[in-house]
Amino acid sequence: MGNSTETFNSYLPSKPQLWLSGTFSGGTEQIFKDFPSKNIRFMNFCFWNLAPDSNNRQFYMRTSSNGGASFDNGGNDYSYATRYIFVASNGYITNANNNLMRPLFSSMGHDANERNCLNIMMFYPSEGKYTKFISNCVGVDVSTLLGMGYGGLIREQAGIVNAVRFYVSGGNFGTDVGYAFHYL
Amino acid sequence: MGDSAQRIYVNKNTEILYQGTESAVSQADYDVSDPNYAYFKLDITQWAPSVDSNSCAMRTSADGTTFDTGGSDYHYFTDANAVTAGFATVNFLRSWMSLDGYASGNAANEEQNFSILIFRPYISQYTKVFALTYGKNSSSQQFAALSAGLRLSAARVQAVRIFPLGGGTVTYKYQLTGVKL
Repeated sequence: MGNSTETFNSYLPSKPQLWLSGTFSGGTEQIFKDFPSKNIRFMNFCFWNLAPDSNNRQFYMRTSSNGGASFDNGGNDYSYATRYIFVASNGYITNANNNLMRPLFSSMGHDANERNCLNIMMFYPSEGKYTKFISNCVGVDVSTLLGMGYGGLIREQAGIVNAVRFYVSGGNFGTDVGYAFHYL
Repeated sequence: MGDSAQRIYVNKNTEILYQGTESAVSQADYDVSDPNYAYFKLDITQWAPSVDSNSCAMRTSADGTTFDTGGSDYHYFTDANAVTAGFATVNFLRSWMSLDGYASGNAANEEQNFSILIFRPYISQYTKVFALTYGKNSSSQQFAALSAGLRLSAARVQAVRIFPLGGGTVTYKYQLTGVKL
């Protein structure tokens, strides 16, 4: 084996550098700006213990090209094609143009064990082209049952992305949401 | 790129914790108890079980030695796609989490590869894993799958066990990486 990681065709780069980590509680939104470099090629947003403070909420994401002064919210600013699976069914596929991105399945709950883990990979936001994302999530929905989601998401206009906004579809985030963001 | 100056981002925020080869083992356990990692990534390549129509399965342990084996201790989904079998979804409560939808074969070239994310096992929550699988299945067909697994009780998980669900032994290469907080 040696010390090389190149034999592993991992879908996650093996040497990301930590930008931010911590926890937050509450708030209608969480904005992350002042990226650690102007030449970000890849960034991975990892969340765990993620929940809203009320039932049947969704987790949304928007981007900014002006450092977080404003976030794109036009009706066709984003597209996504994602698949969500729940215990009650084999799930569904959704694809849409929208004024936001939906990286996580719907129907988030807020009870003690209804928590979600989520990885969002953002590719080359400093390139100035359509910035693209892949999301992978696993969690526990509002019925305290397993939920899974994955898909691709895109910002439908050329431009750098240098800030992101995460928020829930109503109300606030729950308590002790953990996060760690890494970049290349 | 090919320019060594572009490789400056290698650092200690991501650490290779274990790597090596498991040869003809019936199970292998991996310590994920360190609280300093946001998540662990277990990469498995060239998964080759001795018994046909097998599966790569995972269990968890809250004390590092005893692994949960109750009939509904885990829930998992797998979305699988193969050349002839097409797309299929499985959804089960079991005493394990399958990471490939029971598609591994034992013939030459029917090897599977896995990249498994284990999210923050240190916190006392339902521990969650997400797996990407690719290779050839037990019909020697090109195969890819995505799986999500859940340990259905709240506890800090200290170790995970990988084993061939259909019995026998398995040989594979592995690397466990920790991504620091």
